[in-house]
Amino acid sequence: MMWPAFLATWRAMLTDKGALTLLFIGGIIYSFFYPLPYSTEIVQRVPVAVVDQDRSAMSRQLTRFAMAHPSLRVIAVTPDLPVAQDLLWRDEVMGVLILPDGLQTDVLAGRAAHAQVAGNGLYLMLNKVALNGLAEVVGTVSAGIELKRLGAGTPSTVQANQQRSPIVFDAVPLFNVKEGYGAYVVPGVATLIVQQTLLIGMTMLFGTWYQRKSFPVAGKRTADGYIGMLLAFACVAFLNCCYFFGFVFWFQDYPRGGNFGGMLLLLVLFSLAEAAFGMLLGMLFRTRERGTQLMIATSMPVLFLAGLTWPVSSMPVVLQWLRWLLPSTAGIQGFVALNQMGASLYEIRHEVAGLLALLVACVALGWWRWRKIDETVVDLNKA
Amino acid sequence: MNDADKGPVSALAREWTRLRGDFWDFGMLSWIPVVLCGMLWLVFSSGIARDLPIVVIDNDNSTLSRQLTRWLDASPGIEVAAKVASSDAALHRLRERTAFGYLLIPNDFEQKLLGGRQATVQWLYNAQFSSHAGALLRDVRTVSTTLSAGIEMTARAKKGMSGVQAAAQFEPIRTTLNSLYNENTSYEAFLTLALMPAMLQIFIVVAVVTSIGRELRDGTVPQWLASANGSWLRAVGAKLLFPLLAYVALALLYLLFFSLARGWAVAGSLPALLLSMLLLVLAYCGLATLLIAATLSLRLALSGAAFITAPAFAFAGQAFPLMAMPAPARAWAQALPLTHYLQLQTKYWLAGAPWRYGVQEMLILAGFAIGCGAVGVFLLARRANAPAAWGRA
Repeated sequence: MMWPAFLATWRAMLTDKGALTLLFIGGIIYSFFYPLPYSTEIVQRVPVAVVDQDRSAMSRQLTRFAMAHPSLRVIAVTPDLPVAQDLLWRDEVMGVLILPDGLQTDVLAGRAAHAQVAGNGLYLMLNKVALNGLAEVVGTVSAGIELKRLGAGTPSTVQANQQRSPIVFDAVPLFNVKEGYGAYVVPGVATLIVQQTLLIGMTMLFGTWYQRKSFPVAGKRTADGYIGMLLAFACVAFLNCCYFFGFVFWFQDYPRGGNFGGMLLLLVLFSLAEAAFGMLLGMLFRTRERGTQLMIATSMPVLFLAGLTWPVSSMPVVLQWLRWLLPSTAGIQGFVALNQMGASLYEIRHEVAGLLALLVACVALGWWRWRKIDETVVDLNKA
Repeated sequence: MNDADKGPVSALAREWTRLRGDFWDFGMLSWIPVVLCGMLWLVFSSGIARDLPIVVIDNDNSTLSRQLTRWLDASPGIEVAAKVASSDAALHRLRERTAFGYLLIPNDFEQKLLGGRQATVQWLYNAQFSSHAGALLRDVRTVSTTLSAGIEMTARAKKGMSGVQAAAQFEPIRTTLNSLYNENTSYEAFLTLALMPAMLQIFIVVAVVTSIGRELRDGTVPQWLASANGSWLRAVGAKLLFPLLAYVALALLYLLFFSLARGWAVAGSLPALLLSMLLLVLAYCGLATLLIAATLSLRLALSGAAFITAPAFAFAGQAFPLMAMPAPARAWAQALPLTHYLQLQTKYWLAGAPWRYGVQEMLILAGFAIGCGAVGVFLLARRANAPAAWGRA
């Protein structure tokens, strides 16, 4: 009874145009569409303005350095603050360097001079690039002045430089070494896409079966039938994951290939959990489109709950627990750890345990609901 | 009173009865968006990530290295979860995701510094968790720079310089860094506020597509049209009214919640922000009408809605900037009303811009509403009232 149910489910998936599109085509379309905005990966040449109220040799030197900085593009130099404000509101610049009147005089007199750097805090990535770039510009000019002064009192420039900043801070990115934005977001979203397309497809099929009062497996609701259907849906999740982890990560050149054996094991567990979760969900709705409506709207909350883009420890405790009810939580974290970071199975033990628990719970509940499906409905393969 | 005046009332009444009789459809206009938006806000409600775990490899174990470790732990964004002996142990914590970076202090750290030479600390971080790493990098660098400056000042003082003199010498031009409109670079301001409209557009399109698409699927278009006295404009209007009211109310609720309860007051033009919100809802009502009119299939239109609305936030330029996107992605972004609305919201709500800075975007949104809506109604009038258009699953 298991294999007939398995085959009947596959036949149902392949003969329903809507389900077929979602389960097998949707992932492929998204795999090209979703990474598209991030294909350049990093931000360069952020437009900034310089407000030069000093109009001295020093402020002109600072402006020149800003123009030469690789991550900045100076699009306006003006003495007027309102002009800069106008440019900010028009989204034409994302940062402003303000050089106040008296800057050079203060420096020459040995007093501390102040330059102001402002970025648009509502666009975090641009803000960071603008702030860092402008701060580097001021830092470089400032260091030049300081070195000249120190050079007068110390024997060598090397020594002068060492006196200037005793601790050298060397930041080294690991795993996503190019620090690409797509490489950061897309691997997590890949798992979400596999989950959401599968759940939409499954709820669509179940809804249709309920509406038409015909199931791929008719007659007595046996465990064999449940398992056969579960395995068929798990295959879909498995295949889609293979496509993303195998082809898409390679095609987009994301960090990959960490722990292949571990990945395979988690993949089996994840696919089964997704299938059991989807069957439970599918048996909740009675119309073809119902699951789709809800699933479209839940995608974003589900992604953020996974804790990839926002630290789990900063979420309210109740969400820290509730998020484990979604297979995507363990899936996203586990696969990123295995595929991008090369984690061992021990290092993802929480994810494995979470998925196991979820699988057991979903199978238990699903089996209970499964037996309540009306036995008199017709087998749609025979109808 | 003639029959034409009674038309919209009965179309509305019909729609209302239908909504009341459908638990989930009614939910999609009421409690479901509130619950999901509320959950999203909860995720980011702390605004700034605190106490992210890191580990330290202290090969020096000196007064200075211990001081550095203590300062790190005292920094609000960082928690030193453990001191470990080797890079292997640290990497294990990183892969386990119980730490997101580690600081490597060399064994000659104090000796070099006291001898007036430079010492290097290495900060190795998990760049796969980019926002965690970004928050940590800022804090770890600040701590290290502070310690460095302290050592430099002490060295100067030893040479007999006064504190003020030393301070001025040590950094001739100081820089004050300012994140405008969002001083703490809070994720609540930058992300949650932008995520709410992104959720809103999903709900609008799904609701409108569902309400019109159902008539097509069930082949009840003649009854629907008859209830509107044969006027397509009224028929579609009756379909749009309840989603319009529900989501304008939701938009207002979100405005009130964040501006009053959460303290993100509207710094710019409030009337312009309100008008922008209305235009956003209208633009998506128009887009959804066009979507169902073009496909004449509830399932296809919902698939279209999934494709257009679910990834829209990724294209909207809030998280990853528009200017860094390749041309096709930018073009797609420009074709989404959400992109234009979020620019308006950013300007009016937090950046404090006067109304005139958003006229262009508002015209674009109005264009979406009128253009898509008109084409949608036209297509429905031409094609929807024919048996060939019904029952597509």
